[in-house]
Amino acid sequence: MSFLPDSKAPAGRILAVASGKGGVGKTVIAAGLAQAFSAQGERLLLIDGDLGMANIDVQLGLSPDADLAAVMSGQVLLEDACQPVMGGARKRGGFDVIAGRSGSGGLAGLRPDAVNRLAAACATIALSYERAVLDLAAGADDSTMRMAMAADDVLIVINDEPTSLTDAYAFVKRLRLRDESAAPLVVVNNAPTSDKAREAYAAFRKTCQSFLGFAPALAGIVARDEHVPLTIRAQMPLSQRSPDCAAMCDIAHLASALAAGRQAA
Amino acid sequence: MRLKTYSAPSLAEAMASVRRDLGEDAIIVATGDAPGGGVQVRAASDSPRGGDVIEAPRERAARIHNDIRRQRGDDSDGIDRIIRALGFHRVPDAAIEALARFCELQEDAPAAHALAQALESRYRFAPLEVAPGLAYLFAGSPGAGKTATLARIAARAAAANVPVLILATDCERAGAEARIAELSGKLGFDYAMADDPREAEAFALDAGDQLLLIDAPAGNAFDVDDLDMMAAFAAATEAEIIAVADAGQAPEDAAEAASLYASAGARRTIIGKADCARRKGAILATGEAGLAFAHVSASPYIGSGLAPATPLRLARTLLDLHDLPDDVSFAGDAI
Repeated sequence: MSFLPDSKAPAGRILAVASGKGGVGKTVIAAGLAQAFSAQGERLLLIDGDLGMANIDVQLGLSPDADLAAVMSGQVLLEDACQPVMGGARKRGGFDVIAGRSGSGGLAGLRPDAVNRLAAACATIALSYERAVLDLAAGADDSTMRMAMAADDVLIVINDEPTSLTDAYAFVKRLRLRDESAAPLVVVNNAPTSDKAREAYAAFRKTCQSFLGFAPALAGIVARDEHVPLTIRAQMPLSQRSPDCAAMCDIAHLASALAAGRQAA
Repeated sequence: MRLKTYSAPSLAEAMASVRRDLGEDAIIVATGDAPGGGVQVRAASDSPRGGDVIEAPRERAARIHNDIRRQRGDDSDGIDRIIRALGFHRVPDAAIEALARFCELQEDAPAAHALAQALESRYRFAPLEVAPGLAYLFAGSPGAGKTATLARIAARAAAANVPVLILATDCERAGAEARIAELSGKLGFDYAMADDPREAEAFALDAGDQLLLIDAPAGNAFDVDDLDMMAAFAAATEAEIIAVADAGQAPEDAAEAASLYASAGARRTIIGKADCARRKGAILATGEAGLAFAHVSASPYIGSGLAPATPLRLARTLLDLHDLPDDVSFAGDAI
């Protein structure tokens, strides 16, 4: 899945954040990871890959001049659609965002070749950064899978609800139908306790192992934290409003683990 | 995937519910105490049709048998039955059309007789003679039944007091020589191994008035080098190439393989595995390629398995009428 000639090359590594089920906190994790990676000194681009229900701009309180839909219609170049957040990617703690556009018809409405072009464009622009975080749409439809295939790493966000398990499983199954070597990582979000999170992961792992012969690794756990809904309502980056809250600390920990290629202990 | 959570007084009861709803392939993803007492089990199944009751082999076989009878049109009559049967066997379309047109002309005849006449009009039938001085080379894909066919012809020769020399060329395959040695030993014939056509030629010259039966090297009909090697053995021994076809092969593959064997010099075919294949379109597909039917396997037993491939026998095979009393008349042919 790598577009790079050398997988050790520092530039342009794409991390796709997927969930299968909507509403499990995928965008919070994707935006939080963007903040955490940039705080760790990476030049970072956050791409809203959900053309149908894009909301990174809403969550972060942005008013983008151009978005991915405008890029796809040829109105603007992808690099011109990048908007700086918290000082932009050149500043530690800041990053660039390419917004999607909510209600634009979405990835599902795009022809496969258009989705492939979009994925290739994301991969190309990611080369100008050290890392790109791609917030995928919920679901496991063909377009979402094509976008996921453009990523070097895939992180699946689950929570402890049964529907999250089944939808995330469907995503992993479809991803591995396309690429048998795909090894998506798991983060358990909105975890009431560490034990509950590990139970949810254990159930997911066992399901994948039993039916797919593949056990996805746990990359991290993000605690349930009242600061998260408050921050979403305030339309601000979590690292700006509540930099020391439990969820942001967990996301920073997750970012460190992903950057180091570590699994959760 | 289906995911369900069960609460029950005991684990055993919960598991029974899981098995009943989700089937034997279900896995338990989590267990714990139920809020109101007892146990709670969360189970998942990813089978497209979970919850199927697994049948015993005998029941399963009966179900398959009934399905096949229905699909093959065993309960219908006349031309309808013939067309349904040919379709069930996946006989090539061109053949079905031609045979059906012929059968329509004989409305009053029983299905087997009408089909037999149609087969007779479309294909050639030429059983193998078993006589001193003749030479046959049995060619076919691995597993088509070459060696078993050779053994059956040898058994028939033994019954007719015709001396036989068996020549094995399939020296590389594991156990090939042991198998030929065992078969030859049981029938009381000599056997020899030939690594190449030149060696085979020498044995053929020494065979005198023995019936020479040659087991061709295991080869792929679609591999021209394999075909060339097989033809070289046949030329060196002046043997007639007999294409051994697997009745259960995909009809398209069978037609293509038969046409390749025909181009390599084969004129006749022996149909193997007709007794165990269910869909037998490969039989007529082989005939479509121009090969004459010599024999057809009727049982897996070496001593009693090969019958002349007459039009009526093929018609009965395709209509699954082999258990009718009329069939007794063929018993004497079986070897």
